[in-house]
Amino acid sequence: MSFIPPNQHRYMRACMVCSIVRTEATFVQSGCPNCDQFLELTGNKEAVQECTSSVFDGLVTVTDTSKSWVARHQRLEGYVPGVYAVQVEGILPEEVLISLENAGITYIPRDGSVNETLPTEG
Amino acid sequence: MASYDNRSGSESEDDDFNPEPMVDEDDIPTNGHQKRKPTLVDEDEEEQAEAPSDRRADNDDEDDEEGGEDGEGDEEEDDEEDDEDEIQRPHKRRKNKQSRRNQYIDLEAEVDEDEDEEEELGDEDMPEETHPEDLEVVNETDDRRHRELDMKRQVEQHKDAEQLAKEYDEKYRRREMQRAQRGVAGGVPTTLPTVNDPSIWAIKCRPGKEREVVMSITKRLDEYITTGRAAKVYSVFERGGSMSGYIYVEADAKQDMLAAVEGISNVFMGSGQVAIDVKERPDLLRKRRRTPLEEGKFVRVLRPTLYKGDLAKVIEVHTNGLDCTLQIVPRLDYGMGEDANAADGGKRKRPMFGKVVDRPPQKLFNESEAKKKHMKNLSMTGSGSAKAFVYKGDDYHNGFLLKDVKVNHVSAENVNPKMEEIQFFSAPSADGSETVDLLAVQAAQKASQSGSQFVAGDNVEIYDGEQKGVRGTTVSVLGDIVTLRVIEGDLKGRQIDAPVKTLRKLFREGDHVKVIGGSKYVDEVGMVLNIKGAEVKVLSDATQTEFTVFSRDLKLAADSATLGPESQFELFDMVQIDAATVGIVVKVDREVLRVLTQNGDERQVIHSQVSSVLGRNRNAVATDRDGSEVRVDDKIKEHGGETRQGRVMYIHRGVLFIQSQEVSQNAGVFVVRGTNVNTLSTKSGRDKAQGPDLGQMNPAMQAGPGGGIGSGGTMAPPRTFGRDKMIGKTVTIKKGPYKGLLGIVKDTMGDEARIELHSKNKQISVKRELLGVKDPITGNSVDFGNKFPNRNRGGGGGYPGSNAQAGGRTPGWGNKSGPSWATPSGGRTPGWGGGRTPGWGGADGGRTAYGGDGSRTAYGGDGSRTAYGGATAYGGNDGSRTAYGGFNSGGRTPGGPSWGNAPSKSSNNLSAPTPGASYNAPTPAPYSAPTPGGYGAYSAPTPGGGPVDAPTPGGGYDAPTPAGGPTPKPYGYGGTYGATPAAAPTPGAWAETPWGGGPETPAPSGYDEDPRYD
Repeated sequence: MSFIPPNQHRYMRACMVCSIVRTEATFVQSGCPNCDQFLELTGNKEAVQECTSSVFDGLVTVTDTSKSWVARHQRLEGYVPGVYAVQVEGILPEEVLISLENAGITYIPRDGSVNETLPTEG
Repeated sequence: MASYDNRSGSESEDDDFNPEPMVDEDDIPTNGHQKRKPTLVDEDEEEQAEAPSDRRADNDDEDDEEGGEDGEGDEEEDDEEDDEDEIQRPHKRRKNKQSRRNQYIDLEAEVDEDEDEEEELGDEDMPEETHPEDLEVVNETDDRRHRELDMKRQVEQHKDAEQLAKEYDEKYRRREMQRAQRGVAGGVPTTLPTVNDPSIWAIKCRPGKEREVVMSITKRLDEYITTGRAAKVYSVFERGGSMSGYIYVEADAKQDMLAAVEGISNVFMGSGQVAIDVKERPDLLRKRRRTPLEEGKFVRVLRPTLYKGDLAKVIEVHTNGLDCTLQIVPRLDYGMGEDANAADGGKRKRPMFGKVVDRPPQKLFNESEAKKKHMKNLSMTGSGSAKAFVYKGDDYHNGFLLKDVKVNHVSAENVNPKMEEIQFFSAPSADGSETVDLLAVQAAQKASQSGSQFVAGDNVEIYDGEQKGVRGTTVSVLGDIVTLRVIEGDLKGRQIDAPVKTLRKLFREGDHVKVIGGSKYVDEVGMVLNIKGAEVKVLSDATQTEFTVFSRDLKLAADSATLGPESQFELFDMVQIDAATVGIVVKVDREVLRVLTQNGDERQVIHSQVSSVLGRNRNAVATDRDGSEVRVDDKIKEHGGETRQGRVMYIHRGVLFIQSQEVSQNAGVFVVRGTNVNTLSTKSGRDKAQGPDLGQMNPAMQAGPGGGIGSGGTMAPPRTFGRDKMIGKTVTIKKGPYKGLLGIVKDTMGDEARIELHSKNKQISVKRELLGVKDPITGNSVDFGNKFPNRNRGGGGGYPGSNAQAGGRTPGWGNKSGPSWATPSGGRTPGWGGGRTPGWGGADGGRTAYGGDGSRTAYGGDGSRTAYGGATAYGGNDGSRTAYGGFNSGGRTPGGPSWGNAPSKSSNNLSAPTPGASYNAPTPAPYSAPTPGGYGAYSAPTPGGGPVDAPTPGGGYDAPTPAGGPTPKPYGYGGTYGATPAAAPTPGAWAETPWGGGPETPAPSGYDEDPRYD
């Protein structure tokens, strides 16, 4: 499941879009459970490198993304239960941003560069 | 109910049954897409997506089996739905929910429902619609729907499991997708917690193990879920870093939280768990904005540990924002620390975690060092002038290590680069001088700025932000906010607040400023020459050099330069650098001293290289060119060379450190050998001989190579100690208005005495030399000489009968007035002691240890007194004082005889004094060499007396001497005496040499001679 044994911790990466934390191998093997539709990480090592980040802070294990305030605050509502990161550093490549836009998604970076307590346009 | 079951069961088993839902399911996507627009209520969405499909499925079924009922059923359904839509939405929802439920429960629920309905309807006061028919219809449709549901269930049972799984998967995934997208789609501010949300507890855990703890709990929660139990904990999280030592659990009840964390290792349950207040919860998840890295910025390395804490420069930030390339000053030992015999292929040892390993010092990459041991690890990659290497897998460019590290392994905060660190990064510019990228340094230092650098009254400028360019005077500083009063522009006179970050101090060219920190120029004071942005060029007051500092490191200075109190050395300190080298500090810098050593060369030494500070040795004595004594604070003039003049500051083994007003280099200090200087004047109390320069009067000397042995000695006259012995004596006044009067000496000052007259109740001041001591009882003149002569060296007149000058005075210093006898120096120097001693060696015998005597205090009571003793000894002489010439020198000095012989020896005498002999001999050893000659000379000086002698019955005196001193004999020179007066003085000068050298080793020399002497 979402458990990652300690010896794998150093391979952990967080998805820059949904912040889910998995090992690199898991990302390559089964992609991001929330974002694979547009990120298409499965089987794509390069995409995993680009769209996930090994620099993240704060592990959050969520069992119920709708009832948990933490999940709501982290904008994880509707995502699969699992382990997420509070803050994910990294910059998505341009083309990924475009594909996100095409998929109708407003991407909000999770690296703390955007003040999320204020409403944004759109 | 059971019948429904059965029936539906039989129906569903019908062969004709065609599972249409498949098709329906396919339709869902379109529905889904239509509904994609984010809506706030989930359940509606679900319903709308599901309801049509269900219904259609139902309809199809009915078509097959109960065609006739179709229209009605539809109608009824429609009606029902309409009704519900219009009036009882909640009702419908419940029903739909029920439709998914087990039918057994369904029925029971149905009853409730009806009751509810009735209640509701009754409540709403709408009798028309509460008609029993309606109720029936509802019931009927309910039944039918249940049947339909059952049928559908059965259909589904028939589908194979795989298909089912696929369907579900697709269905839910899509739904999740939609949600996911909504979650990602921004525009909605993150929610704040309310009291209705689950509580959050903080639980202590072992710091650094937060992630593991969270993972352990995750594992437990996973197990709960897989075993079908509900995980009653909604979330578990940690924040590491700033909140290390805690994990946080979100749950409805404390028990649930406890159940989740209990027994997890590294969790500390003992101290209890704190529920986090609602208001504080958002802070738990606050994101920390990382200070963005920019190229060229200075950062501190956190990892790899080898470079931990080192300053590095960001060369490149990679586009993914995760990595950056740093320029680091390598710490390499090039394999020097390796154990050559270590087994190869062994498991590589990992340094203990967190342990600070001894690391090599920072040093730029050195190719040749690397080649020594690690040739195989080194390869050159650069071409041309670019020095690029790959060494052990790392890139080195121009001596720097270029390393890719993760952005979280560097810190851009509180970098505070130090000057010495930055020097590595200084870029050599075209002209070869090294320049530091001050802007980058400044950027790095900016983070550390606080309000403390500003004080009220500083002139400041806002250089960033909206108020850029505003200038004012600081009024107060509170934390990072500075309140300033604007001094120019539209806002003039207004007080505004500005963050420290946007302020810089404002100086004007010509301001006198002091460096208060941030650079190696701390405490330097100077004048602002030029201001460029935040950089200020300052001309140091102390060193007259220009340097550049940041305006923030300056403050207006009222005071002048002060060297930091940290320097334990002062200008003109005499310091010992090593066993053989001493020097005088001519410049004190923060790190280095500039020292002028005794060899005359200038050296820069680090403070720590100085082994000690030598105090001033007041007693140090050197000999000048003339053999005169040179002491500290004497004025001297260089002989030859630049004939520089100056004051003696220190004497070190015959080397003089002279401070001169005329010399500008080395802070006006120069070094010269004692033997290369002439004494101009001595410090007060040690008057230089004032008699005519016999050296110049001495033709022989003039002719000699040494030429200018002129200026005689500088020996101080004997000093008196204690109470003046004259005081209380009865005296007569021999001259002047009070001539002939008797009185008592009440007090003496210098060469005057206060006399209380017997005749008149009055005290008068009279020159000492005008006094004659009387025996108060007998009225006879008393020879006061015995006790006195030394004392009143000034006035000599103590001798009642004496012809004041010469007689009264000890021979030594009779010279003062009597050029004829002896050179001044001769008189004073041991020389004369010698002169006399031999003489009286006869009389006084052993006493003559004149080396010792001389060296110490020729004039001291001892020497002179002995001399006196001598005098007494020849009381006869004394008595026959008339011939006081004789008395003085002749009589006393056995020398008298000795010089007599001179002719032959005179040359000897002369030669002795010649520079060759004496001057070269600052060191003890040399002294001894010349001395023999010198001695001859010594005896000679007294000859000064000689001339006097001549008139006197010198012969008479002569006679005794030989007996007294065997030595004189050899030297004895007959009557040439008169002829050699010139010779005589020389010896005098001569005599001094040993003296001058005396302190260092005179005694030996003296003693050496002694045997000969006696």
